[in-house]
Amino acid sequence: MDVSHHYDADVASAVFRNLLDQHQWASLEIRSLPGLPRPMIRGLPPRLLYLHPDDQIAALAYEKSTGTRAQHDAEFEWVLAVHLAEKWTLSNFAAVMDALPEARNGAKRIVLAALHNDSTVVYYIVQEGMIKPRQN
Amino acid sequence: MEPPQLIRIANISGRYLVFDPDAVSALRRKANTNGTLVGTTPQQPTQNIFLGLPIELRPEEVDALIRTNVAYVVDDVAAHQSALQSLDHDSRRAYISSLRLRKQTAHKVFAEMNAQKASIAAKKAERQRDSTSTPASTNPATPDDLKSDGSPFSRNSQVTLLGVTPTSSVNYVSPNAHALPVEPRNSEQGSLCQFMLGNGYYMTPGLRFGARYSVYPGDPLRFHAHFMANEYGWEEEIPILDIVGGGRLATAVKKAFLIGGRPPSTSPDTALPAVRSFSIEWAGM
Repeated sequence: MDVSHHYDADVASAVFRNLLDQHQWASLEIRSLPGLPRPMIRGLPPRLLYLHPDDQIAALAYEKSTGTRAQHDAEFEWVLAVHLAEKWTLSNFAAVMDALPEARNGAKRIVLAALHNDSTVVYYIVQEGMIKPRQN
Repeated sequence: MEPPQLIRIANISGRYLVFDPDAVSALRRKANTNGTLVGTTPQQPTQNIFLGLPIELRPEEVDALIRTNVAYVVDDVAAHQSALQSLDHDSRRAYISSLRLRKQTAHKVFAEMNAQKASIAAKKAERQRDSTSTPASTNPATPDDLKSDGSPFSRNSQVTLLGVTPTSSVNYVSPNAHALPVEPRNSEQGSLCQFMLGNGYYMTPGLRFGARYSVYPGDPLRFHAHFMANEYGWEEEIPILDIVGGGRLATAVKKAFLIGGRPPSTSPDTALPAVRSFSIEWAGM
């Protein structure tokens, strides 16, 4: 991760601004976790970012039977900010997952934010293990 | 879980092939390995839309099958050559006469098929003639001309002989002859494949989705793929751009992009390697 070496703090702050200004995340903070060379961002998205496909099905069934939409509160997410030009390894990702506290339900997940030089940020959900895809 | 019989995988010029239909169905049912059909038809060897036996297996799949004691690999060329060259005089003659017999049988079947076709065509022509002869009774000048150009008769009498080359040496090659020594490769590569096979996932080639494997939760005839998977070494560098591209494409086709590999600390001889994998989907924002 030599490339990232000199700009990981900048990447994190750029992603932080993007989450705050463009995606209206709340309670944002930059935290450094023990054992990780770079800081992580923690924050609350305006609505739930990820729903497991089984829960999606349950929510649809609930909506069908009661006629009211199932309420899912937003959950705090951990965001890993990286630059698009970086190269990561499986061991790096594993170290990030290991540094996270246990998930309240389901698999551990992070939001991978990839920042490009033109300040575009794209967000990907990375989960530990083989998690089947959402029905979108 | 274990098939009653070890499955024979033929190694021919570096490719791993399974020719026996029973073995193929056993692989599919019991070892969740479906392989890729690669056999084409002798009449039209260049068409590749309808492919049949044999199936070809990936090297890492073969590795996993050997490790789980489902299959064994045979050097098929050597096995055939040694088996056919070591035939004694009597069995050689028996073999040749069995070839003749099969050829005759094939000819007979083919002749019967043609006779049946000809009789159907004849009946059809007769029916046609009957229907045309009813109005023809009012005009009796033409029926002779109609009969003379009844083309089906003349065409079908020209029966071409079918050239059959039966694959006939199977009975003379003992199934375990020239079995290659069981030495699963000890590399990191293939542990993701082994892990997925061990967990009941099916895999097909993933090239059409830009990955190494398409991973199905069950038989590919019954399920859509859940993952596009790539295996990486534990310390192999993965460009973030590859994760973005793979994740975006996978999400667009309702799959997750899976990357995985084996951490170096776990011992390689366990049946199921401890593989760590990560599922990646577009976050939708």
